Amino acid sequence: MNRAGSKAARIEPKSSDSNSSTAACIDIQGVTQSFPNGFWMKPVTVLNHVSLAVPRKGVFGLLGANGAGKTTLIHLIAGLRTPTSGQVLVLGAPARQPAARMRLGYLPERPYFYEHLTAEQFLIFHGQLSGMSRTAVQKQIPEVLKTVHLLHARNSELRTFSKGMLQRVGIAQSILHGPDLLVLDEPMSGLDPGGRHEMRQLIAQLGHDRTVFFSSHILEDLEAICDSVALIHNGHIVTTGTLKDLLEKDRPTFEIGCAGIDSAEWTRNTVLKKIQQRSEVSEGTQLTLPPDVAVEPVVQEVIQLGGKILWVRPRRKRLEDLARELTQ
Amino acid sequence: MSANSRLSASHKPGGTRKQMLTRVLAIARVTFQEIVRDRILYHGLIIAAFLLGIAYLASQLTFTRQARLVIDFGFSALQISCDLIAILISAAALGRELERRTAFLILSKPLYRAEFLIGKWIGIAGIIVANAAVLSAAYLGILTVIGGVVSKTLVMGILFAVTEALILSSIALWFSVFSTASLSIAMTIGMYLIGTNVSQFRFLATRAEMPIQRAALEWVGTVFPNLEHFHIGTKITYGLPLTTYQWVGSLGYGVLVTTFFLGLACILFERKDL
Repeated sequence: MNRAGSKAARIEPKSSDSNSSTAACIDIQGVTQSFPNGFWMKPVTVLNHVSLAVPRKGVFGLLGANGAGKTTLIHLIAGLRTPTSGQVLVLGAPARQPAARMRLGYLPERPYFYEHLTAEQFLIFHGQLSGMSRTAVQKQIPEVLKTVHLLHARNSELRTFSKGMLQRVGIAQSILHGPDLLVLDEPMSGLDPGGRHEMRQLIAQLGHDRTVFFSSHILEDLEAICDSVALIHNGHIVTTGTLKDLLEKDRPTFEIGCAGIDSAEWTRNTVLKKIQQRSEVSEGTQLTLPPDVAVEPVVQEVIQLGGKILWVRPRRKRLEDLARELTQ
Repeated sequence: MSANSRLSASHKPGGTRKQMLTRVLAIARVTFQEIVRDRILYHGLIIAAFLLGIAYLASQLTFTRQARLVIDFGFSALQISCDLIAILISAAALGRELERRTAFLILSKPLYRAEFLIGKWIGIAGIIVANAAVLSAAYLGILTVIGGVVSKTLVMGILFAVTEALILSSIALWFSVFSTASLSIAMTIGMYLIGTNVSQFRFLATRAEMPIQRAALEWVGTVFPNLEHFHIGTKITYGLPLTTYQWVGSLGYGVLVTTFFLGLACILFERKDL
């Protein structure tokens, strides 16, 4: 796992109740969300009996295609809407109550900020909204801006910020009051590769001492920084668990590179014909073995037939394979 | 400062009363600053300046009653400007925040939605008052230059114009909670037209022959806010005094109506799904 080892200052989360440390950070119980669709049409159901428990601490990724229901689920967690049925608990409190939002930091997708404010004024505004005194916010600002690498832009107006800088100042406002839970909706959306890399590092760093829940449809982002993931498809949670469990659940398959085999052998030989996935590469032929086929007999067979083994390497399942399998 | 003490006072959901006030004022300040940068405000000011200019020019074309012309024209300009700014800004304020998602960030904080709405209204109210102050200075300046008298009734008239604009802003804000900006503008203008003609509706009700017609007109005359309380044009023109009952009653009525519509808006907004 590509965990960033940045030396930037850390904003510690405020506190965690000792008695609730084992309970889920976000507990979604049988949530259905429908939207009205005109007077006469049937309401559109965006989330259908969704249940999900997000553990405390670490980075949790919500993976799903556009329109799968990610943003709606995040709006429910941030207390911006009430589910049609079911319940959303954030750190033990119903999400719509201010009590739940006291220890939550949130950044919406493609956020717009008051452009006339400087980074410092913006943070003072959001700090005050979170219940902090002006003095406390001002004391906290250098630390937070250092974490998001924006200390140099403290007195610049937000209108002069690049997209990446705006995302980072957005993160800054969300961690200012030391929340235990960070909810980020597509934080890498619209960023260039450099910006995405920086954002990944920042999220991984923030996930060390709090829960970071973020959504994305970009698999490599999730694979790089998440401890656990949930896959949402058409308003249903298709699977959830730690990335390790999900990807290592099945035995790894192997790839064998070989050359010098007569093409007729692929259909004639009893061992080789079991291998369905075969592709021609510049050096020869690449065979992808199904999990139920052992490596050794295939290697021996290739050598017996006068062929040459070029490479043998294990092929672990990637999140992309899992997502494809589960959504098809 | 320890992390625990940063939010110590907000263990109570919503925080202390002082924290609520801080949040409301922070939202009001940002709203005020945002509107100052908005073109709508300057359109309203330009219209008022244009009407004030016409008032001054027209007063130069007449030999007698120059001051009366400036009083009438100038006061109308001030009233129109305050009402226009109140309606246009209030109707768009909430929709724009939701559209740009700035409201999402704010409403994800541990505050009640009513705090957000009241903060926005206070910011708008600040703009209305500032606009009225600038225009009043210009208006009373012109009046003094041409030798007119600034009567107590005229000052009360300006205060009434501001109160009416504040009522209209609360109505527009209420409409904007459940409809679009353009619909909110149209419906608030409708309320204004009815509100400034309440006595006509009541009069028509006495003349109506059909019971349903009479009931409908009486209902309109009773339910809609009566903005005639804030229209004292003739008294301003002739400098006739207002009784204490009249001005205290009218201002009190204004406070009640504004509170009523703001309260309704807060209740609806608290339940609104974003």
